[in-house]
Amino acid sequence: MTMRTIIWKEMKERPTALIASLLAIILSVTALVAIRNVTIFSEQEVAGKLDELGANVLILPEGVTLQDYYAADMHKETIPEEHVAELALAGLTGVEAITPKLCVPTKLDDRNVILTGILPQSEIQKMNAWSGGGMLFKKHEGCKAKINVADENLDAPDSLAERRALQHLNQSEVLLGSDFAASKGLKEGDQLQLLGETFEVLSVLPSTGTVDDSRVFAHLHTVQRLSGTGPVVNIIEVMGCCEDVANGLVGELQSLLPGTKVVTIANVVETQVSINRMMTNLSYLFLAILVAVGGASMASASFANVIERRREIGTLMALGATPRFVTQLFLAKAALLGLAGGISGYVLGSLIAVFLGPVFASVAVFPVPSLAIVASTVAVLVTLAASYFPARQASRLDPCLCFKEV
Amino acid sequence: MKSHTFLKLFKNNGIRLLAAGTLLVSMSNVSPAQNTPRVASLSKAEASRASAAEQNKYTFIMFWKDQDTTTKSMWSTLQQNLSDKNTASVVAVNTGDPQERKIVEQYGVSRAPMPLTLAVAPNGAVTGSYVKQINADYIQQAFVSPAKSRCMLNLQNRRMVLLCVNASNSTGIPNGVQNFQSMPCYKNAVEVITVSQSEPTERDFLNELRVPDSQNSSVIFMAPPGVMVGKFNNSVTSQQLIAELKKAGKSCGVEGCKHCK
Repeated sequence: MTMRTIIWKEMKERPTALIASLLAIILSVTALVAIRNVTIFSEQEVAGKLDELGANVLILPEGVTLQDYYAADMHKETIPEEHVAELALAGLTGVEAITPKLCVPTKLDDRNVILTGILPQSEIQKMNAWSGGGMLFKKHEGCKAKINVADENLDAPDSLAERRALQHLNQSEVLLGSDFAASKGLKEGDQLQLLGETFEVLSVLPSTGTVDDSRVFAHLHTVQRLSGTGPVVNIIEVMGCCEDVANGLVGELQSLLPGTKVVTIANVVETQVSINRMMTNLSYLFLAILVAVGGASMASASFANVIERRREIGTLMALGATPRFVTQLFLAKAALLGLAGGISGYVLGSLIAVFLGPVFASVAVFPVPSLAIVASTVAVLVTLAASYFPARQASRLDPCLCFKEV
Repeated sequence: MKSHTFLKLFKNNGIRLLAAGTLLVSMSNVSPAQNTPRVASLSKAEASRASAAEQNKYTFIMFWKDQDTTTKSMWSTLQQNLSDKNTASVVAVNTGDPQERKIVEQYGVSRAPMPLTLAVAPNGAVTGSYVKQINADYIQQAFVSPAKSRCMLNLQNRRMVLLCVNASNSTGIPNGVQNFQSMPCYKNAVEVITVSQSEPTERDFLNELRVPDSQNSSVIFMAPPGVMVGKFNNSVTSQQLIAELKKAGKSCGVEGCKHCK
């Protein structure tokens, strides 16, 4: 009878003990893998957002709570459009672009659509240039040197998707999000009717993977007139130079526009980062639980196993099995359980992360193969450590005493 | 005899005489016809600004919505500080007045906080903007030198400026600047302005730019909205200017200046 046969028979004869031990390991590994998996993709999402957006500042009505950066303008609270001119005239150093937005839900052929009013940069830069963008004739430092030469590349309508700001837009023109244009079969030069007015499609924006893809963008003043809201906006997006945002631009904005809430993308990301940090800590907690519960459960099962199998151990040793063989027998069984628990836990944890990640953390999650190695290694190490003392106890059993008990 | 001479003259120069006659008639008829509607279409504020520009004076345009205390106070400060000056005229514009709609749209101030005063130089550059409050110092700062107002106007029109500061013994534009300006992709985006270092009216402006007070000429490179791209001596090359411009165009999230890539 080989070691493999003995282990197999042992597990087959006592399935309840086996399942109990395995379950403790599987559950702990599942939680560990699921949380770690979501954390990894959440961190990637944050890094991607930062890379994509640079340093942005959002100016919101005071009572608005920011849930989603891209849908930050989707609320009914408003602030006066006057703030846009105040910002432009203040000529704060580091403000590269100011984009006010007003969102109005409407319908086009029974399809709900968000009509977003935006103000072209040409109308804001005019005022901003009076003060030289706050840096008139000053020597530039770092990224404060954002220059604004008339440029057909940067002035193209597509720049709204890339830079979240648009240079020119007539009052009778609209820009379409890629999804909306595709669903309606609209293209550049086509006409459409919104809120009783006919607009010409200036351009179809490239896909961004955000809510902007399903929106229609028109001139802010047209949207205000058609919706009857008056000169108000839901949000003012400020493209701020990263260095300046870090060096007090937010404070200057807050003192310039009292009664508004100034949120930086760093704040937005801070929320996500704190969630990630919490999830990382949670994964460490589950690692500790895996060690404590899984280990304790395994140790207890192994001790019970040794006590229950005293006769069999004694017989094996009487037949010539060395203490080393007995130790290896118990440790091999533990390693097998650890490996099975680790792999099962990885599969289950990955499935949970893939299905529940988008729901709870709003990020697309995919299985991370490297986690399988980590999970299995941790599970095997924990079970080996937990079974070491019972195995040593078993190897020290005296076969004579065992037979005496019989 | 006389009629014969006229006939001969007409025969030899008939086409020229006809062309000259047509030109004279058209000038006498068309000129007033073109001027009349142009002057007539100007609003009070526009006419005031045009007249001030003709006289090489600044125009302080105060845009207002309500006759509240802030508006009254701003108007009174403007009157006190500018009424006795021959260098400026003051005009108030009610943004709700349909006749002034054109000037309100021109400056894009219909949604701006009011009252708002703009100081407009004779060349059209806005040399000062004041929201809700103004004082004597602010008013004084709005008067800038001719070279500075030219620089400001170009920067406000999103054009780059190469300011050539010539030492007393030199004139002209450095070769590097000329080469830069002649490049097809830059020629419409840059304005070359020359100024003499010894010009007393430009002293403050040159000090503001920290132009070294030396015997050598220098070149100051500025880009909109008001970025100092760099200062160079007169041996600067077009390649150096391009390199500095590209460096200055680098910013957050943007792969540098895409202009002339």
